[in-house]
Amino acid sequence: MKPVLWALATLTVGLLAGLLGLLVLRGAGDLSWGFLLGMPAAAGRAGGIWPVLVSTALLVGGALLAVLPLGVGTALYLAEYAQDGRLVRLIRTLIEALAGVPSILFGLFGFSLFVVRLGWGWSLAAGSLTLALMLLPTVIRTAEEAVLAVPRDLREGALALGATRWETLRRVVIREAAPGILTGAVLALGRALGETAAVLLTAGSDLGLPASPLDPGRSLSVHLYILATEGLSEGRAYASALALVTAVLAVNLTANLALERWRRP
Amino acid sequence: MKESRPKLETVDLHVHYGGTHALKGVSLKVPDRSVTALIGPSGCGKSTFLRALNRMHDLVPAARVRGRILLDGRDVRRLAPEELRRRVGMVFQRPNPFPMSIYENVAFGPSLFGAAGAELDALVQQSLERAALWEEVKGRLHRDARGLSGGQQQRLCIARALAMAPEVLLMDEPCSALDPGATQAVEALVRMLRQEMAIVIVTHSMGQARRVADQVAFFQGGRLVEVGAAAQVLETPARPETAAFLAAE
Amino acid sequence: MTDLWGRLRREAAVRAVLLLCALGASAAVLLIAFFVVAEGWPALGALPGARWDPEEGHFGVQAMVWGSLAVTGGALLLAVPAGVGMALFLTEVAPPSLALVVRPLLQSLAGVPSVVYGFVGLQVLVPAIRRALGGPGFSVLAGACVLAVMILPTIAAIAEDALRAVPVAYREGAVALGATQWQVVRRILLPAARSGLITAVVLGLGRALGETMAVMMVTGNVAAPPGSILDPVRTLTGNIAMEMGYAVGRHREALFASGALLLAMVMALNAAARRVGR
Repeated sequence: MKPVLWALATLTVGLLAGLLGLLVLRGAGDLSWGFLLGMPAAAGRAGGIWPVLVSTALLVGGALLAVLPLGVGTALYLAEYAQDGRLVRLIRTLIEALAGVPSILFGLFGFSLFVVRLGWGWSLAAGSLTLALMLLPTVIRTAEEAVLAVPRDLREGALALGATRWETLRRVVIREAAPGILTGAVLALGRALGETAAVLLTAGSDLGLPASPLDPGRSLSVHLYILATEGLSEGRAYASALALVTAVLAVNLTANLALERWRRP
Repeated sequence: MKESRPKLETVDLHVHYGGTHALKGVSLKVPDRSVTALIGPSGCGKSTFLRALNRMHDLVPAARVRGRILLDGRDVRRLAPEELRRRVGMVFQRPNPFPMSIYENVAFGPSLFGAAGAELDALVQQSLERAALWEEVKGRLHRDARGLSGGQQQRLCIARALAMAPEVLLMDEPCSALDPGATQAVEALVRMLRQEMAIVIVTHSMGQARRVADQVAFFQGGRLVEVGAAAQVLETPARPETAAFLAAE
Repeated sequence: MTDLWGRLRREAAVRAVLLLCALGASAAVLLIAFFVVAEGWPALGALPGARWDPEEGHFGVQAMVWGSLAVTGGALLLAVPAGVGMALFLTEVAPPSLALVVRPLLQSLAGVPSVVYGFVGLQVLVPAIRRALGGPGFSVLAGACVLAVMILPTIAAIAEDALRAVPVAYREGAVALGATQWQVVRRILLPAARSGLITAVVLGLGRALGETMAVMMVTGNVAAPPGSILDPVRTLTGNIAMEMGYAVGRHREALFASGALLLAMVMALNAAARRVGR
């Protein structure tokens, strides 16, 4: 049994290494500051990806802005105020169900509501709000864990002095839980960067530099998709892929390391 | 006691757990067809010693075992661990039946070595009879073993060990999770089995040691302090530490 | 005293706001389900048909359902043994220091974006299949391989948890009877972890069904049921992603309806997983 399992593990780790190696090998050549900061030309066959980076940043930033208040608020309610009962169980079930919804369906929903019915058209705003919904379960889960991890005696100390629940939360608990909550946000960021289908259906794929939230925009993942499937430029596709993977892995690594440190100091 | 070669013997046995020196130079002879009881305060190394005998420490990466363990005069490290454990069986402190039927529990060991069919059926029945459990379970061999009472589960574990036809049986406080009635049944079993094999039993009860043991070994702080005939050690111990321990019990 | 009243009022207000957050968050999934079903309602009846041909008004998704099942089934065939194997590697074989390194590496496979897997599959796997096995390269096989790599970390993680949950007492009992390591795994650990392992498979299945980009990029674009693993296919998810951009009227409704079908399938699988895990 042992040699088979060793071979399997080597294969799996090798797969990851091979994947990254391939991207570096074929993509590092095109990956330069000029590429990152330059404007695209010939529909992406040449030139840089600056508008794509801007769109991605706005998209993801907007998503985090939308999801954090709602997600952390929900987590606070579940961790601090909710009593075990039918309502709370229902809430948890529904949030768990949300986590299981395939990403394409978020895209359909975002398209139907924001792009069509609200009349925004393909827009960064539509994309951000759709992404925010996708990130909601992750943010709620990590924020709740962070809040629950705050030791009871800290809370009890504040309550014993006559503070209300909210005052205790605001001035003691949240401060303690902040690193954990932030880490959750960073994890969500990583997921948002990698999302393609839902973004394609809501933010569109326009290569222009967006000027307002109602402008369409192309995220890095969508750009990679288009370059790849339309065969526009292999070098630039690899470079885009490398940039994307680097960003996502760096973000995830930071978040996971921080989570480990914070869970087991 | 007879002067023939001991069934099981340790020579200057040391066990280290990570940084702790859990067993310090224990040399003990276990004669065949007898019961040796290991007594001593908590954490004195009796269980550590017992588990060294069937190389259970191999499972723990942080454990290091030095010294010699001889089965019928041969070093046990020359044997494959699976072979050693076939010949030296173990019963644990808390009954640990597998999540399977009564039949499958007893059949498990022999089936590892290829037993099957009618031969296996006979072996299962025989083992359950030797463990004085057959009458109680013969009608429900294929029901889940976890449905049995605590005492029955422990006798099942004994039957499971007996199915391997062991030459030595190691018992780690087998009655500590059982009520007095079940304890009595197990002690009766031990007295019967000693006619066929060597038994080493860790016990917290001096009464139990008095009732079943031929030889008693007193451990303290990882060392073997005193060993001798049961009556002698329990009534008139030679060492002051032993006397102090017995007085406190 | 007014200060106290103010604080108590604020406390009540905050509590209400937080409750609203929670209710809003839980309403999200209901909202999504409602929209998808509502938009697709008129076209639901057209789904069971065998032909998907929007120009001619045919909206049968049979071919896409077969495509999804074929790719997903193939992925499970590859990922379940590999995932359970990795879990066994981490619990039985790897020294703890190595496991500490391998586990996050394995999980980072899950962090790589779907579109990157699709891209690498497109560049490397598809031509390789074409060269080695013939056919267009865009195939069920390519989709299954890519999908397998993507669900491997999920299956491995849940399987590892299930294996670690098996009581140590069972293992000790088996070892004391003379079982070898492999015998302990095969006859004690795996059977005892069975419900957790099934949960892993069902959850992996759910994720595979919902996957879009990577599979879309390597399975070609043929809306017909596959005859062999070398045939190109289209999955339910790929279908939606590909055509949503320009679909109007009935066509659009049909896409939403297929989305509703997908949602129902995934929800059912997740509910089944929860039941098994109990």
